[in-house]
Amino acid sequence: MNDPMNTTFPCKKVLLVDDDDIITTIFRIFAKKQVPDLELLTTNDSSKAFELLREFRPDLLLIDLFMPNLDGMSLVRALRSDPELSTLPVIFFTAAYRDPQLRTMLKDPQVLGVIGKPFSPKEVFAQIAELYREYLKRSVEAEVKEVG
Amino acid sequence: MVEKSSSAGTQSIALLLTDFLPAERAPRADVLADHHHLLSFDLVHTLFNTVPSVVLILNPQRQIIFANRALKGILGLTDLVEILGSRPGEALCCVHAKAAPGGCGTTPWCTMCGAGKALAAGLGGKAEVQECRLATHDGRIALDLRVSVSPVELEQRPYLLMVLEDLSAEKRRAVLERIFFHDLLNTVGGVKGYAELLDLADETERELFTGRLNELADKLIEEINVQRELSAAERGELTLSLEPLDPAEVVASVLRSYERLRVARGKHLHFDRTDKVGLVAGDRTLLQRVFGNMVKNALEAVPPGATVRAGAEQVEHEVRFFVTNPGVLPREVELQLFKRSFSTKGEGRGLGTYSMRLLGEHYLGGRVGYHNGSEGSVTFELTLPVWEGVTLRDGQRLEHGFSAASSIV
Repeated sequence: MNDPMNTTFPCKKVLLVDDDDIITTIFRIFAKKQVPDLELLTTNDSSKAFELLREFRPDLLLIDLFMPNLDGMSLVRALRSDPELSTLPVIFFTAAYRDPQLRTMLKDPQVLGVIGKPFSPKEVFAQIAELYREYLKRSVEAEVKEVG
Repeated sequence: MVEKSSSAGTQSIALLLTDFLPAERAPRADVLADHHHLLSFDLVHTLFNTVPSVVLILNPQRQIIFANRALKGILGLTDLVEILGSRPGEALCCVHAKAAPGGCGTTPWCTMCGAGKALAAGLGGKAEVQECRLATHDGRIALDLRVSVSPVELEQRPYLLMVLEDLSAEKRRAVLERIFFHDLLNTVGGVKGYAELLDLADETERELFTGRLNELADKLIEEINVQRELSAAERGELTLSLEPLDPAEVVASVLRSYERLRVARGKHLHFDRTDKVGLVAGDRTLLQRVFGNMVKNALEAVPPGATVRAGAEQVEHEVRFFVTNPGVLPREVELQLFKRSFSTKGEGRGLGTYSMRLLGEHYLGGRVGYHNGSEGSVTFELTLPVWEGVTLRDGQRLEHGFSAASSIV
């Protein structure tokens, strides 16, 4: 696993949606200290996610599963029918990583993976970097194949 | 209500326009005739009595004409004749079964009931499997059931075969896993996260992060205690320490503890003080837990900047603890409140309103309710009787020499 501190972080802008503000606070502090190139925006209110996604235009959405108002899976499903946001890569970040419904979500090629809680911020950022690099690689390969 | 004429073959009562399924019932004589008809099929009762799940055979008016031994065991009946002619929700003491004159299947709550939906499908000639959350009148039993309904015909008479499987243990495990472990893992995640940040912290941050670690440790203890208390309450093993309590003091202490929490950040908690409020007899921890749950739910339901109002007032011989927040409870949420595995946070996510009712009614002996206010607000309330009629006058302090706390189960 790559150390996010020793290599360039592969994406520039990430939106984190998690109703637990302890988690979003830790992520903001860690990112500021250890991944300074990354612009990390967080919200604890999933109902504001769409508005933020349109304004912030992140490279990646990191999202919790169980949240009041709008849960992670419903939000991602809604995302897929939005013409502007339908291709946005998503990583789920949840303590319920064994939830059977998540398996269905993983069939979506834009869902890059699931990161389980509890977490070490350092490891989470390393996993995000790894999953996003793999995604970029797949995208380039697909483009080459299409051109060829 | 609109009166209609009754159809042939059913009880000659004025029919009621209901919120869901028809209210009409077959006369007692027809129920008993159907019952004896079914008993003439040896295979039916021999076979069904060996099944551990509850098996019911209903007539087209959804009245029980046969029930197997499993139901007898659940209800503690000596003779099944006692429930012949009643509907499933009535036999199982569903809290909503008497909410409309037509009984089980006819109330607004029945439109959201899995058993009601399965029966509607069965009456339409289709087999159906649904899940149903049933709470009993006394609030003590909460059953999660899998309900299967199939239309059947025996010697050209139409019946509905209904099988009820108790999923309570399964659901309880699922809820425990999804809420307790999920929340616990989130909190432990926070501990791990701040512990890691300590390595990167300067002097000022170190103090801040240590404080957060302490808060998270307290939260962990609280989460474990809540779960332990709820499990004990469900087993009927919760022991109370009863004492006279000043409602204003209870409200103030709950509000003080919630003001400090993250869920209240950017939100306003307002104490609606009233002068004359009597004492209530209760267990301080449990009362604070029920009232605290109401405050927490209200805070979670509102956006930053909103105000949650809470207080206690005396209405005749009762004290009403209330928590009001701006918003409206959607009808589908309203109809499922207080059920064990229902949560506005998602399927199998919350025990908040369920535990409010279990602890508030069964253990504290009060009433737990809610209402949507006309001005776009939601109020949850717990009403408890005033203790022995003692009333605190303006500024009067409690000076009676109350005996040591007593315990009840």
